[in-house]
Amino acid sequence: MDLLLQLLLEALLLGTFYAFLSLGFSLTWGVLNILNLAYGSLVVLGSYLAYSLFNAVGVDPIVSLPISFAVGFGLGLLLQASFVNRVIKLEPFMVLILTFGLDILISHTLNYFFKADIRSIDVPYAEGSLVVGNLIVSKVKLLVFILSLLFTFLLFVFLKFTWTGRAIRAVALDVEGARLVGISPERVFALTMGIGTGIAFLSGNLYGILQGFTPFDGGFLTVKAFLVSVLGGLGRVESALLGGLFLGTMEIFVSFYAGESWKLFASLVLMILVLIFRPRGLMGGKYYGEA
Amino acid sequence: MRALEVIGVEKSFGGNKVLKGISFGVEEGETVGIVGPNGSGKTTLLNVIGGVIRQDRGRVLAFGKDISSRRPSERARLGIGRTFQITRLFSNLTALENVMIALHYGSSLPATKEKALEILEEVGLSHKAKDRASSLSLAQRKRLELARALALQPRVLLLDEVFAGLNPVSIKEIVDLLKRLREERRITLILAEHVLKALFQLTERVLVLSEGRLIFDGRPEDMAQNEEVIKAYLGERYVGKGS
Amino acid sequence: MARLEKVIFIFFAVLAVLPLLLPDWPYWGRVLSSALMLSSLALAQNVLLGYTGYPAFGGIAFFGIGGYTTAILMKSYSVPFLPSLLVGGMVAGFTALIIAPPLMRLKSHYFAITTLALQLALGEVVANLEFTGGTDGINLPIYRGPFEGYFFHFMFLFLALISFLINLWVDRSVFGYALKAIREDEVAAESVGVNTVLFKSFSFGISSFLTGLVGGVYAYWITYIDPTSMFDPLLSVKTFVALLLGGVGTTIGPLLGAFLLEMVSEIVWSGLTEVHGIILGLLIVLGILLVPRGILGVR
Repeated sequence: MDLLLQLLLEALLLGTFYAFLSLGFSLTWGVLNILNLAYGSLVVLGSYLAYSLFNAVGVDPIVSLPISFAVGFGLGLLLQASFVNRVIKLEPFMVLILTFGLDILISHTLNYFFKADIRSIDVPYAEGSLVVGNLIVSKVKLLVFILSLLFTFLLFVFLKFTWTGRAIRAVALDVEGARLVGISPERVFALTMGIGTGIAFLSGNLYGILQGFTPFDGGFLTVKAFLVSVLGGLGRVESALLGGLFLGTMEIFVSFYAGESWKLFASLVLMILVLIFRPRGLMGGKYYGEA
Repeated sequence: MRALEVIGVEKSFGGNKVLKGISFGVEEGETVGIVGPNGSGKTTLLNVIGGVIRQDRGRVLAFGKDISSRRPSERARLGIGRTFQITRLFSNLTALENVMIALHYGSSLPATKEKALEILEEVGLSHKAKDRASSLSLAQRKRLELARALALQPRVLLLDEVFAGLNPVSIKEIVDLLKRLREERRITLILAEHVLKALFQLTERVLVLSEGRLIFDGRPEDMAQNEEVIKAYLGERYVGKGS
Repeated sequence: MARLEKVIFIFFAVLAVLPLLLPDWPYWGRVLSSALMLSSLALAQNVLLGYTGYPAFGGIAFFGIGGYTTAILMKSYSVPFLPSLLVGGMVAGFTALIIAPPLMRLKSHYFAITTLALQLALGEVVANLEFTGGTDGINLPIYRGPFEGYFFHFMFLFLALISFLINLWVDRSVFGYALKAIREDEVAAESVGVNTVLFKSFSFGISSFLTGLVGGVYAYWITYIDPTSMFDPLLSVKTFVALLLGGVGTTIGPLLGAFLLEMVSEIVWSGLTEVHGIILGLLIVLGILLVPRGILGVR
């Protein structure tokens, strides 16, 4: 019983992080209709940014969070300005290859500068664990959980209650309709790309706090983001939480009962099954507009 | 023998009932028009007969054979040819290749090419044989689709709005072509149609669909007198006025 | 037959006698083998993407299946190379044929990403199982026998030739026309009597059979295989870059693209292994942005 509770707790902590991680991916998918295979590498880029800020300038990894978001946001705007506008006109499959190329570019560039060694960011005041009854909670995991939940909530409020957020949802639902009521889709696309990449960097910063990382972690992070998005049904922020918890639970239990090495396999098989049998996701929701 | 028999066909799309128990039969060699306001279920009905859409309930028989669960391709080879409301040609292939694909069973490529040219000749498109399908005009695309269906040696032809968007000259040409085909090959024609004038030159029998129900089955001249038909087309308040 | 295609046959003939002419054969043999291997992979994917319209981005899954089947048969069951290779190709082909009906309900990038997931998942399975050697991989014996030093050049040449002939056949056969109909419009294809599930499954099967054969030859050539090298996403992307670069849906495009990509990589950055990945990534990004329709500019 204690064991089960402990595993469920781990799943909750991890799953919430996955939920937040996936939001940038599913936002650009839902609004710009781009399946960004470089997403995981953008996350890792965020991890290395936080790592460098900490090691070179001594910026606390919590303090670096807003910096991460800002840099990610800027990079997103840059990506949008440089080629996303052209990409939207391409066949979806070409976009896939393109973003895969970007993934290779980012991961190998990181590898060139940082080498393939595992790096990590230490948070001195969050070492050790809390003991609650028979449960053990690592402080780092708890910290990342709380921050993920906070950021997820902020995004939820932003999309639901601000005019800008509503504009994003409107564009997700119907580009031409949004144009008719005076929203500029181009600006919304740029903003979405900025926020999406900002979220990637933010979650990269958190990922760096949570565990060690290498330049080549991007691939399986993309798989996670993808999986959470399709599990939740590519839509509402709430459903990303469900998708994240589902993935977190699966990973924790597969790791515990079958072994760490089967974790990725289980995710991939689940991804294939969902794509074939429930392409609109387990929740059946559609795009961000339908919130 | 009955060329086609539709028995109690029902179909819903996500809770929205589009066909509500449709039944009718068509004799071999007969020409039947299916009319009705937009959204009455005409195209869905043709899609169910052609097999693109699987009905929820009911059966479809062709020449006495139950084809309810056959793939569209099997139905095509059983002799049910069709055209689409918005033409669906193989756009990047030539007109000739479009017809050749429909012919492809059981003969060599050169023989197929010759046969395909004959069919294009029949619909008056042989001069466009080497052109890409996407480069043809609307009227030409409709003819090509017809040619492609004819390549199957069909016994039943399902035509979805074949006159829509055509000028009177083109309409007359297609009407004449269909008349000729009917005489020469005894093909059974089923036309879902908006252009009633052209339709009435071809058919003695009309089915009227309204909101997924079959509300009229009879001769075109009786259609205008039928209250339900008037109601379906013009709305409740016109019934009784002017008579 | 188009003139360019005749040129390709002359090109194959030249490649067959090249070992006698070139100095420094071990080096050029390796370069040519790589180019021919990539050509075969691109030609195999061309059957599926170019003629049928399905991008199997994770088609390298079948490269892995073919390679591992060949290696395991040779190593654990002492089966000679050629029969092992043939079985390897057939296992790959039949696997594709069986999974095609559910898998090919997906189209475009959804199909692409599902096959990619399949490729990665297979890599994970192989890494976790005992009889596949796990992450340690499998060592194969070094080839000894006739044509030593030229054997793999001729094997890859043969595979490329077969793949090219299959592309020629698909390009202008009744079977190929059915595939093209599927590529253009599946509903219309059905309406003229093409059983789309059957034909696209066969297309996937043929393409995967060829890919499996290439994997088998590669395994024996390189003599050491492991999950990372046999299910490598980089090889997937290289295959498609070669294909897209040369021109999808043409018989000679894939060959052209593969040789170009392999020669450029050999000449330009053979000395710069450190930045190989960076340049490849840059090449893909720029290539797709600047030449989205390939060199031959079709479709």
